[in-house]
Amino acid sequence: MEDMNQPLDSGIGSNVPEQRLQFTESVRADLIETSKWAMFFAVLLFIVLGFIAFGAFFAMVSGPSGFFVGVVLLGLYGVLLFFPAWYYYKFASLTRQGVDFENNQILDEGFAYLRRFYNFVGTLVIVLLSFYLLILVFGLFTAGNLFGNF
Amino acid sequence: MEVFDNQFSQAPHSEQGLQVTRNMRLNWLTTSKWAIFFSVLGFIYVALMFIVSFALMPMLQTIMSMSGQDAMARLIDSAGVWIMLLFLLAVAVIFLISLFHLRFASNIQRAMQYDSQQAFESAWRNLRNYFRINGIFTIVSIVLYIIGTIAAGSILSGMGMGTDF
Repeated sequence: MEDMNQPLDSGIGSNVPEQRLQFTESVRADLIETSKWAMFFAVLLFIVLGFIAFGAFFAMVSGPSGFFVGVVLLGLYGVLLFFPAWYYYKFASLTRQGVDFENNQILDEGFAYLRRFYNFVGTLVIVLLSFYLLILVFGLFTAGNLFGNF
Repeated sequence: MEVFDNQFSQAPHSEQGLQVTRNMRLNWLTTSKWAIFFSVLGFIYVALMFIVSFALMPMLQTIMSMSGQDAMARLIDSAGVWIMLLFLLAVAVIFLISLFHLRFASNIQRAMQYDSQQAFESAWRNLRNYFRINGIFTIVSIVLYIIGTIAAGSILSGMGMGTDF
């Protein structure tokens, strides 16, 4: 019986807290563990980023061509790895804080960073898959031309 | 009145602070769409790897035999089953990861659509499982990679010492 009047409130106001879905103890525990793993992945990505920076530095000091390779390496992998790592780090720390201090605004920000992570990685995956597909089509086309000439 | 009082008194005090807002719902909706995309990609990858796993060992063995590396061909012949099992285990783990991802996405969407607390809790349980299995898989991969590197290094140095006379 207690649920009968609840749908009447649905969708009213943009930021009005909704009463139906609750952050129960089990949800909180799951969120805390998720944030710990996210922090682990963020740290791992930052370590990988550190290795790449280290390699790029040695490439840069090895000579003029090495400098170019180093800059490309650092620029490309830096951008591709830094943002996911940063988004994971922010999601982990903000979610942890939001749950620990029971702060809705901070928790909201945490979920926003999880969304940003998915947006970034998803777009990256689509771009990479398109790139592979383009190479495949180009390769088939070139191979077709080569065999066609014989 | 008693019923209402009971209803409020039963609610844990901590639930007063954290509440689901519209912003959260919008973020979860986008996240769940991407999660479905990733899980579908994962399932396609698993299907491809499953097919490849049965073709990989005979292919490697033929290549090694044809190129005259009989020792490697014999090694694949004896250890091939174990390598294939390890490969299939990795494929099974990737399948589980994709499954948890898909279940997180579908449950969070169902929770938002029908205001289902059960689906809401299941969604976060699945996201936790997804992160947990992903993390353990990553740790095991790193450890195996380090062991493999050390083993390959010692084998190579052993071979170098054997020929160095």
